[in-house]
Amino acid sequence: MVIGLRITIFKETFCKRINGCGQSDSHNVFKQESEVETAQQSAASLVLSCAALLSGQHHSTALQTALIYPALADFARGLNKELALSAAALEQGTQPLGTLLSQGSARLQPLLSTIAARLEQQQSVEYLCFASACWLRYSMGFDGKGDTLVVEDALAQQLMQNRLDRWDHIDELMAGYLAINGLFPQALAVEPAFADRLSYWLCVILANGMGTALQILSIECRDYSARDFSTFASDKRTPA
Amino acid sequence: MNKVAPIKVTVWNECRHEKEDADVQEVYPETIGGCIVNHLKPYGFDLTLSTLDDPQQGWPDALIESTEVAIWWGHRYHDELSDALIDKLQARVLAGMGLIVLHSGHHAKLFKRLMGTSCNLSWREAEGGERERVWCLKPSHPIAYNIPPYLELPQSEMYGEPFDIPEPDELIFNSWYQGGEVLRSGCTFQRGRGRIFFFAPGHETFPIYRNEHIIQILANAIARAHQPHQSGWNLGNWGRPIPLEAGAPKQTYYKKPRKLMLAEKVEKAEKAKK
Repeated sequence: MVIGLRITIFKETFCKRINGCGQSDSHNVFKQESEVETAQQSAASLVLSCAALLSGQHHSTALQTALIYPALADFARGLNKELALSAAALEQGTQPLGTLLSQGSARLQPLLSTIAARLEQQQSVEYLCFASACWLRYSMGFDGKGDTLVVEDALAQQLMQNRLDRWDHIDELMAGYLAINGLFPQALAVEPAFADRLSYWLCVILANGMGTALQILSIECRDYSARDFSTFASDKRTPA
Repeated sequence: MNKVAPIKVTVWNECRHEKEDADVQEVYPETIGGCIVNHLKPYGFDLTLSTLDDPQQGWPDALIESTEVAIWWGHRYHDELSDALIDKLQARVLAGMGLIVLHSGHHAKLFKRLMGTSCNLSWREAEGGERERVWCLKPSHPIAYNIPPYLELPQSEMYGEPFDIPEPDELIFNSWYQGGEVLRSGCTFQRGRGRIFFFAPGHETFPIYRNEHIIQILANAIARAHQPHQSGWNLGNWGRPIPLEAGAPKQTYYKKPRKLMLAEKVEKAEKAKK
């Protein structure tokens, strides 16, 4: 990975310059940075797997294969951007989707920290909130056809109970999720902007199913400001 | 400047007349599809010729996927094409494959499916054919590039109005026949991302596909039907549970999949019994 390699080279140069060796306090800083990226990748793999599975892909499909689906690939790109992950980070996922889904509430935490940080800087969190909504939808324990999904998670029981008790009104359902202890960081759970966007994307997923919701995400969050002149090249076709 | 990749064109030809009718063999010894391919080669397209009698009726999945523009010539055996194949081709057009339907292809299953009408018209196969004058109505249109104000085809089959098609997006050519009838003979339609062009001239017993202007029109139509980008969308139903306007009524209840709903109903009833 480009970012990983860059960090390693910089780390070694920096440490040698300061201490004349490869070990120092800064070693721990870089180790932490690397761990953060790994944790973010794990969170991203989790939510992409949830989205792939709920949009009809088989649990034995490898994540990198699932990413061939254009709308899912768009989601992955957007997520990478908001998480500031390297572009290739997720495309290396050879594990089957079914093996990437366990202990989601814990693995989701780095992603939630990034949401908090980005909100503080008034940056967009659309893909991250969609990602969180993907996992909430997965935690409901049923797929688009109504078949049962086994949710392996420390909070699985509470998540299921919330879905059973509060399904009839989306605001109550959302309030229930936000109140589950240990699911969302306290400060984030009371942040109106987060609750609003999380609720929005969960509603879109529930109303449309995951496949169409991914397309809607792609349509609504695409960067339309980019200019592409490549398709307007002169192309008159007369015989040679 | 970057070199433009050649457009991948599949010329699909029913190719039964050429096997069954001596008069067609005489006019098109290389087959109708073969003639079209040969004449389009100088334009630099990446051309594939396929026929009804090829495996998968000339449309294996890989070819459907890779084709950027399809040219369709069929006449006598439209009904032989499987509905499952038409489903796939229709989906491919909606996803961006260009489609150029020639002459009697107005009754092709695929064209009728995309139009949603009978596509019936009036017709006459006069002995020795009759003169057709193809008027160019939109000289500045890309499909009319390098085409004179009108073309004279000395021998043609009369295809006349009323032609039961939806209102075309653009009417590029209009034909007049020696017998007095007229036809909207060059029409464009857009379905999903797919650009469609119907072009009437091209009877199997007249050498119309050897006319350099007709071939220029086909080449122009290929370039026009080619969809160069993947943007835009084809959503079936777009559920918008949250309105744009803050404070406007929103959707608060979401239907569960039927299977889950029934299972929960049974579970609830069992609990109530206990």
